Amino acid sequence: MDAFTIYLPIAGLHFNVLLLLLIGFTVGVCGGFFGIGGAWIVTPALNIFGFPMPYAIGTDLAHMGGKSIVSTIRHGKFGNVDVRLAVSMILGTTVGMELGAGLVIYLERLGLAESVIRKIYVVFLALIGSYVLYDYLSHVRRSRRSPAAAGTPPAQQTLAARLQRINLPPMMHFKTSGICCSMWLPVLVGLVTGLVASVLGVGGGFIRMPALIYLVGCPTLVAVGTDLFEVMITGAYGAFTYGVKGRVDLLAAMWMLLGAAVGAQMGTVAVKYVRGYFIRLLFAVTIFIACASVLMKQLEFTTVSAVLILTAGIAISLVILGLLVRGVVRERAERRLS
Amino acid sequence: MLSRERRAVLWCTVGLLALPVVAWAAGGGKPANKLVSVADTRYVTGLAKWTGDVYNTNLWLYGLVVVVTMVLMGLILGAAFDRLLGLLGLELGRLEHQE
Repeated sequence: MDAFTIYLPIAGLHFNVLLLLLIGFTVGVCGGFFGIGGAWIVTPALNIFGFPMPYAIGTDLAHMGGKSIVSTIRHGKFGNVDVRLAVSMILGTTVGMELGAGLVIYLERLGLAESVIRKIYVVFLALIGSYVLYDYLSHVRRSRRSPAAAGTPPAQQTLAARLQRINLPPMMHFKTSGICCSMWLPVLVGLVTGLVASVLGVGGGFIRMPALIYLVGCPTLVAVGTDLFEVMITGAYGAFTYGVKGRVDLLAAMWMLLGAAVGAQMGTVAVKYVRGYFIRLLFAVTIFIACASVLMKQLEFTTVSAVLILTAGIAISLVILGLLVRGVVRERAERRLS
Repeated sequence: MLSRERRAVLWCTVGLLALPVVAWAAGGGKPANKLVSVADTRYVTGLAKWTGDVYNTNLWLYGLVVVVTMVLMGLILGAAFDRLLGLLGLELGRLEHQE
C-alpha cells in the first residue's frame, strides 16, 4: 500500500491516496443524492486518519465547492435546480450566518459555546430526523388507504401551504418548484437555516433540504438540486477563506474531488430511479446516524463516533449505488422490450 | 443557445472566480490567525512543490489558487463524467417530480 502513500507538504503528513478517493467518493454519492455538503462525514473521517481539525474542515470545504458544481450541473439538466429560489435564499442565508457567528461569540463570552452548541445540534438532528420519518410513515399510511392519492398529500393542510398563502409583497412565482409565495418566505427560511447552520458550525445542507420541502413547499428533487446550488456557493467561499488562512491542503482536496466527482455523478443520477419519499426516508436514517455520532462525541467517544459516521456513510453510499444499478438494469430491460 | 440552468451555473462560476479578486482589490482583510505553519517542500517535486511554495510565499494567492483549482476541476470533471454517462445510453433529460 506504500505505493499509494503520498506526502502532503501543507498538512505535513503522509496519506494514502486510495483513502482520499474513498472518502471523496462516499461523500460525493451521499451529497449528490441528498443535496448536502457532507461535512459531517468528511471532517471526522480526515481527522481520525491524522489531519489536524482546522485542515480537515478547510480541505473538506474546498473539495465541497468543486463536488457541488458536478452535482449541480447534473441536477440542473434534470430540471431540479430552482435558481430564483436559491438566489432568494442566499440573501437570507448570508445575513443568518453573520447573526449566528455573533451569537456564537456571545455564547463563547459566557463560556457556554461548546456544550450548548453540541446539545442544540443533537436536539436539532433528532427533531429533523423524527419529523422526516413521521412524514414518510404518514405517506405510507395514506398510500395504503388510497393508493391513488399516495403522491398527493393534503396540500391545503401543510405548513408550507399556509406559509405560501401569506400575502406579503412582492409575491414571486418559482417556476421550477411550481410554487407562488412572498419573496420574504425563502429569504426568512434562508435566514433561519443560515443562523442555525452558523451556530452549529456546519454547512447547513441537512437543515436547508428539509426546510425547502416542509417550509417552502418544494418537491423533494427540487429541494435537493436547489440546496446543492447553495452548497456550491458556500463551499467556494469557504475554500477561499480557509485557503487564505492557510488551512486547506490543496493536494488532498484535489484527490478527494476526483473521487467525489465520480460519486456525485452517480448519487445524482440515482435520484432518477427513486421517488421523493424514499429519498426522505434514507435522509431520516442518515440524520439519526449523524445524531448518534454527535451524542458519542459528547460522551467523549471521539474515535468511535468518527468510525461510526464513516462506516455509516459508506453503507448509505452502497444502498444508493444499489438503487442506481437496479434502476439502470430495469431501464435497459424496458428499452429492450419496447 | 445555453439553457437557463447552464447560464446560471456559468454566471455563478464567473462570479465565484471573481469573488476573491474583488475581495483582494478591496484590500482584503487580515487572516483570523497568525500563521505559524510552513509547508516542508524539501522532499517533494512537481505540483506538490509548487503548491507548497505558493503556500509559503503568499497566502492570498494560495486562497485564489484553491478556489480556481476546485472550480475548474469541478467543471472539467462534471463535463467529462456527464459525457461518459451519456455513452452508457441512459435517458438523462428532464425528470418528472414524483413524490
